[in-house]
Amino acid sequence: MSKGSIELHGSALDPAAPADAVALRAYRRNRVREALVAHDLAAIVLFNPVNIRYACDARNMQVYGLHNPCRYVCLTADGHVTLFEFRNCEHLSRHLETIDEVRPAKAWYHMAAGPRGEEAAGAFAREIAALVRERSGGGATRIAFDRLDLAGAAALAAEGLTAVDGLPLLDFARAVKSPDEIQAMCDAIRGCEEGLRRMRAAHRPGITEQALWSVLCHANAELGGEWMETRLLSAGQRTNPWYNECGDYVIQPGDLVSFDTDLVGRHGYSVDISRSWLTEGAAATDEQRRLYALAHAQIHHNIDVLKPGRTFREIADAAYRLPERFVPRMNRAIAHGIGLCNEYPLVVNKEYFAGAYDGVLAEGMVLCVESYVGEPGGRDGIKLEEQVLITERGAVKLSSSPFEDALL
Amino acid sequence: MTEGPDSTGAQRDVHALARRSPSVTLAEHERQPDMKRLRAYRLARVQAELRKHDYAGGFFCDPLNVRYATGTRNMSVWTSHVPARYCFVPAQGKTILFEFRSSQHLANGIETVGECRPFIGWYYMTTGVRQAEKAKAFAETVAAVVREHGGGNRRVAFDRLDPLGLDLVRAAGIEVFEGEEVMQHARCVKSEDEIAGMTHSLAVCDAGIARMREALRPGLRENELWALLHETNIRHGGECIETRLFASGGRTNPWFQECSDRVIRPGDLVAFDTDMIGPMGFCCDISRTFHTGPGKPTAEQRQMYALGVEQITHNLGLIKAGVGFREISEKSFVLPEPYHASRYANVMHGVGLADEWPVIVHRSDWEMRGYDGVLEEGMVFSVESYVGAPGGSEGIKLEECALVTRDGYQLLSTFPYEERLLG
Repeated sequence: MSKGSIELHGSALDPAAPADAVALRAYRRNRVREALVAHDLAAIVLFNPVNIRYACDARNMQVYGLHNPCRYVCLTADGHVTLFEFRNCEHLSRHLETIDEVRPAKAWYHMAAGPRGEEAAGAFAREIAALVRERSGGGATRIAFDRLDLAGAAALAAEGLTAVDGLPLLDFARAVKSPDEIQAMCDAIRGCEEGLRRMRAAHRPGITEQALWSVLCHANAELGGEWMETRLLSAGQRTNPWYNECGDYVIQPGDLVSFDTDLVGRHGYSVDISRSWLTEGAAATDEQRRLYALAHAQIHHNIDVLKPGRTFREIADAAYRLPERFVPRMNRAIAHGIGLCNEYPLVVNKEYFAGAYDGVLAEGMVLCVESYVGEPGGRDGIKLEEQVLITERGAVKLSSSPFEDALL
Repeated sequence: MTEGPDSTGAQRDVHALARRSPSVTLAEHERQPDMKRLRAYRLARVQAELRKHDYAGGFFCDPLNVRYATGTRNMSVWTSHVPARYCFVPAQGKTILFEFRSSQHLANGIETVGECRPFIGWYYMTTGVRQAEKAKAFAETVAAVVREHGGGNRRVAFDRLDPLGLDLVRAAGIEVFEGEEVMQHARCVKSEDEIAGMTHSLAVCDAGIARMREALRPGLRENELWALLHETNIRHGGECIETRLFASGGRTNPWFQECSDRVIRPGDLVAFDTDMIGPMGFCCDISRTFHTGPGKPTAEQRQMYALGVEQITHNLGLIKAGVGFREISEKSFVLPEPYHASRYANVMHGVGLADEWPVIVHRSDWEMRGYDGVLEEGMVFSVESYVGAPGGSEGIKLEECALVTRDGYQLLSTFPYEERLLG
């Protein structure tokens, strides 16, 4: 964690101070409402539990909800919030001042509704249509969704409603963080860093990848974090190519261990930082040190390039250039947004820019700056990643987990 | 690889299959789960469902479905909410995996995958302002794949397709159908290899429960105990935990309160639902309730516990291949008031790679939410109970995992009930 205060949106922010939960919720809910009004939409309906969390802070069986659309929230343009909660769970959100009304969700996914899916989707659409009519005084028909499966889409059309993709406006709303969000995120990062300290203490030859990763999973759960999005820890030659998930490989002396935390920590905020460590018992090879130095130089160069007002294309042009042999396996992304999970924007390297999109960096965005250095046919891969806040003066690191002296 | 369930009537060992859970470390001298056969079985199940509906194939994006159809896995939790990879399953032949761009190597050697291509995502984070263009490219890819593999049939199932893509795929001449139904019906009947894998996964889950029980004492925080299940799961190759349903004392009622920093007190009930995705991706969905010493459980705690055990035992007894969902619902145990009012959402539900179809609801909920069907040999169910009075200070949660057999059921979960709460 950076020492002292950070200047954000014109005032000093103490990253170690606790967030004001009520102000945090009000900010997020209002961001969604402003986006609705700006896009002239009657309402937005959100199924993804991460989006529900953003809009009203209600939380319930989050990972289950990622693949079962079992609950949803409807925000109408007048600011009214109706949470459609999983059966028997109304009590979970009683304390939330962001929610005006709680009703039972209509479950129309196949597991819950079986052959009655269309009937349930019809009831869902009628209820949403009536709610939107009531709140808008009739007439308004355009409703945004973050996810809408077939039966629901057909039922809404039958009600005369037009479904619009809500992710562009929602992702855009989420991208700029309030001071309270930064404080909550910094608390999540402190939890993750405690997990990394424990992992470091457990890291030695003879431990399996899974056993080492379990230390972080344990710490996240024990310290009130929520879930792990991936299982990206690998060692030795399993570090190259990247994206091998942790297995029962026994870590050997001199192995690199590379990992990407990808966790959803306290307050539901994501901590996405990566490190590569050298396993004791053998000195680092020249190649390991070379790879590490490149990755270290790449992320620090790229952190310096991130300034508010810069376009993604300008950033891509100014970004660090890895030697040719590492280009085939390098990260496409220079950086990606982060909040309650990975989110907009995605700023990609020059080599891939033709397939990507442009945009502008803004103060208050939080980005994860990425590096992967490993060549085709090589043994080792280095993964480094830092989570940074974009301030008026440039990017400020929010994580302070150390780099590896033995490899620098 | 496991032998068929015993059918020796009253002397039947309800845990026979669980006791035969396999060793999964590679060994040449033992009969073990056969992963190649498991993948072939699953793909054949999906293709049989596709043919039943006369679909040319299906595009699947839920990582549980991609895993079931192809045997591949990549960042399963993240891809549950970010559609970053897809697979195409033709009604016959090998699959095409549209894999996350940098992860092409993960499908190497998986024989169900005929071809692995980079997936062009059209979710907003990766497309920004170019979403329509990318969605169009997706729709064109779909149309091309269906032209090549559909034999003129353009009826295709999708498990997830948001409005933008739906319109474009239809505009490309594809008839779109509900894919989740295809997958849920494919997934519901388990093979011998799958049952062997489930018993292994449940062994890890039982180990995690045992660690929580051994560690339980006043002064620990709920989160500290719950973390032990996470640690055990990951250490043994498990994948994730879907919920955080662990509560103590007054937080056990009403149910569904998530794990917190509450300090556990003497005499508290501690109740949890594992919802654990364990090794090989098998879901272990079992619930238990413990009593925190020192001291004895109260009469009310014992009474609720006995009711929960009675409900589970009664409902397990209804399980048998050939029995209808409606019959189970009608014969299911009815908790006495005040507990019926706060009953659990269902009597039992399918389980496999996650909670799955079907869900069988209580008879009082049948009209609103019930649907019929028939239990088949090889289905696996989680049988549920929650007993806690509305406004009461505590509640108990119990849940067992059982395989449907010709003559009844086999319990796959082996963790015992609490003698102190039964006595």
